[in-house]
Amino acid sequence: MNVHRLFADVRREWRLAIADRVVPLTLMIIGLLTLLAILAGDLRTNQRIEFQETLKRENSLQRRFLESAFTENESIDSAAASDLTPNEIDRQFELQMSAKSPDLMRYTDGIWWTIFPASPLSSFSMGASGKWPDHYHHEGSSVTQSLSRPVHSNPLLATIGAFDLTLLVGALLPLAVIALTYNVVAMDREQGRWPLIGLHATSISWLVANRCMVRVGALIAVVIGVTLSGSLIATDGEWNLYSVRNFWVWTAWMTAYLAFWTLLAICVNSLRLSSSGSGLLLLLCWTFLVIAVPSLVQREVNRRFQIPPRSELIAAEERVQRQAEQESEQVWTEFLRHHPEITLDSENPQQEYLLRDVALNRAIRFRVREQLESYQQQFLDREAFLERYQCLSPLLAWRTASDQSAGASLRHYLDFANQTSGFHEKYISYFEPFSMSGQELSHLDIQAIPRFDADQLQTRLYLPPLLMSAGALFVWTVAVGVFSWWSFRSRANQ
Amino acid sequence: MLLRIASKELCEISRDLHTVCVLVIFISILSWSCIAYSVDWSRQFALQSALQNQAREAWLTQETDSPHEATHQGTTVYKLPSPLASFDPGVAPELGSAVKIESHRRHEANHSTNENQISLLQLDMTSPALLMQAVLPLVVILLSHAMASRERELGTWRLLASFGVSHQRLVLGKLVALFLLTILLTAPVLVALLWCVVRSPAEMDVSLEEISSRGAAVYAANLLYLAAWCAAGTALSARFSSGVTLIVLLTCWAGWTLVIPRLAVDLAYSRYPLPSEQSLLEIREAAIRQGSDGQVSLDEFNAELEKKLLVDYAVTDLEDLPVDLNVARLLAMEEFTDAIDDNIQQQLDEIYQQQNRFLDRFEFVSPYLAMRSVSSSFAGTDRHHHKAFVASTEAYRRLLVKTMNTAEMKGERPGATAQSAYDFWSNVPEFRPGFPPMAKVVYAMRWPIGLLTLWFALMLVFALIPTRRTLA
Repeated sequence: MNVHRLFADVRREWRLAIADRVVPLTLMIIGLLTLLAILAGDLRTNQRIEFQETLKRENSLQRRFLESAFTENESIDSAAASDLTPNEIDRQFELQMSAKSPDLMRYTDGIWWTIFPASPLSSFSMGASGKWPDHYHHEGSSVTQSLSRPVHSNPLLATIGAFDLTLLVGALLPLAVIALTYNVVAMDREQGRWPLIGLHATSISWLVANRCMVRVGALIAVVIGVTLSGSLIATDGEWNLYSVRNFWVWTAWMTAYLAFWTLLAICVNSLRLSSSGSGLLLLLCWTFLVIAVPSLVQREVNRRFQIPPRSELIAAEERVQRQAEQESEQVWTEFLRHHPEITLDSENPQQEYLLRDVALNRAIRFRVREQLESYQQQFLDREAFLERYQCLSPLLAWRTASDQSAGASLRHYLDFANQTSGFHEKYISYFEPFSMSGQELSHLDIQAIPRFDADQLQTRLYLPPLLMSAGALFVWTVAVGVFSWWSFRSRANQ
Repeated sequence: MLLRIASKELCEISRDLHTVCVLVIFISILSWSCIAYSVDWSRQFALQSALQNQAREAWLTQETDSPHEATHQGTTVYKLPSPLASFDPGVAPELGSAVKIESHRRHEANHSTNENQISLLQLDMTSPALLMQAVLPLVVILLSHAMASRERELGTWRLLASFGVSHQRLVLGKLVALFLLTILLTAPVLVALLWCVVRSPAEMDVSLEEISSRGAAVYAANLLYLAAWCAAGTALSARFSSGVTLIVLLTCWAGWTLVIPRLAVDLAYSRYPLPSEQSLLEIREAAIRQGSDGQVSLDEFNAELEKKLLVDYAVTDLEDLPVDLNVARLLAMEEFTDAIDDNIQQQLDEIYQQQNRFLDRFEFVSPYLAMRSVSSSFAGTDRHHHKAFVASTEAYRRLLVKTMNTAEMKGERPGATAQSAYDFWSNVPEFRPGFPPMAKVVYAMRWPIGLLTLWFALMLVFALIPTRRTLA
């Protein structure tokens, strides 16, 4: 078949499709729903950005409070000071008291917030953002307290879920594909036109495939068009190269996912069922692949991986602390063995007291880090299990890709938590040499306090799960494609 | 005639092998779901009861001899799952199930069952309630979309009309058949609900009548909702072709079940965002530091306490009081922190209420949302029931702290023997959670119930009014 003929066929099918009332109506509804999903996502993202801006302001205010301890009048400039609330004035006083002492700085809490920035595509998918925080608050020397999650949450949001593009593409677009394609053959057959069409068509399989592809192609074009323009407007076009790459990944996976449903529709149309029969069969496939399999996989994953609540981790830290305190002499000896450079001044008992505190704190942090790593590992193991089983339903494969491109997958949030715990370690360790040498902090030391940087985490793509997702979609699509081809061939021979 | 039409419809359905297969699969899934959720419930109940007993035992056998110190060490109370939670877990798994009880501090409920559980697009519809409210309508659509249109397309509709069978009778007959079949499909749920009533545990402090009336109400509401779907399916099938009926019903199902509830929740939370945990903590700490939160002040509580003590002990000077004034001031401090916590909780409750009111408006456009509200409310797994639990834990906390601080003020101490210490700590009664009475729930749910009834009535009328097409 030459290109000219191909275009002519596509044009003809498009004219026929657009004349069918169901097609423009479905495209309109889907366009509207896509817009709604973008708007809802944009609302969520804006709220997140606004909140994170206040946290950034608080971070910089805390630093100014610390630095103000080294200025002559020990206060930040009068214009800024007049804007301070009574709480902030109390806080300024507290930080000015601590700023010169490395020992106090190790214990003073609330000095930083770590922030996981929203990616330009974060409005596409809710992902794990409903359950995992995008910011953590420094809680003194306790890393598990610093990594705690908020108690006030929205239970309905967790049970009903958000309306996002992942759901729209994963659950609703297949329904739209079914609505557009379930009767492309049966309607003509029921109205008696099929023998005539069959007589003129060079290939029945091409005719059916062309009809389905034209309709689904229009659907994909509408979704991509609305999504691209909607999100570009919402983000003022502030996309970097990574965002463009992630958008291409999103588009490619969505097209592959809908290609699977299109081939499934072609396959069902090849079975020569009635309109209702085709519709019902496709609906049953939808119920099975979109509702039943993911629900069962979810249940099985939750049954297999019963991860204890985070409060257990806080309790574990308390246990570790008690244990380390009991073994304080052993810890102290070990510390001295690792630091032969330390010479204790017998006339300065304060020095030994502070060094013992540093030693104990280090030992606690080391043991808690182990507990924390094994706790986080349970989530990673669960993700790995889920990624292996995403081949059971194309929806699961699509979800992986969508969450990844939006920077909202559990892996992103786990990495953010790990980065925060790493930063906590870096922050506490920063003051320890000062404590060990009994040196006071200077203005320059305060200016050099480590700063948290999420390092483009929001646009990172994790290749192994993404490749597994691509493999799963490919296998499903090829399997259905081969079955359709075989079905057309076997019926053509009859 | 009505019964004859209904039995003919049922007979026709039973002859269709594909339909029978779908029905058998659905009943099997629903039965499995009822069993699985009942087992989960029993496990959860046993775990929570055991934890509660452990906590009580730890309180009664604590080693401290200072009642005030005991309030600092505190105890933990656990939420027992509602007897009907095995039918509809509602939002309960997302809310906390344990509350730490200690002085000066009101704790939020933590340890939610679903805290670390994975949720794949929130499409899990395996609970008996969701199978009935979200999946069964799909089966009803499957059964009803061609029920009347097939007759019309085959020409038998006109034949029946020529025998004098009216449109209403014909539609009603089909509707009765469809509804009877739907009731049959919900049989496992009926058995599960009866089981819930029978196994209702004594620890819950809920009467058998209360549980049975809640079970009956939740089942009746579900049947009303399904009856409306049956009427909608039959009505559309009587007016349009099978294909168009299928598309319209599917669009409605997807819109009501997947789109509108999620959009509504999204908008509600965007419009009325909850304050951050940190900001609430800061408000509290600042109020305690400054001795006032702008509405209540510690001085007022101290003055009131001193006045009360002077009256109680009939003395004119504080120095003449036979009790330790410093310890007595702990009571005032406790009342002051309670008042601050109440103000913060009130702010939070107001936001939750605004969110709920906003969501309630969407029940007009999505009967599914109304159904979810009614179902989780009668099952005792909605936010209102959780609020009642939290309120009872707070009342218990205050009772515990007051009892112990009063004992401290009067110089009372646990005795030297284990038994006397046990008796002393037993002055704080066991925790009994609050469970709102049925009448209160019915009153709170009057609008969703009214909406469901209205929706059913409208669909029934829509089905019974003949059209030009059905008359032709």
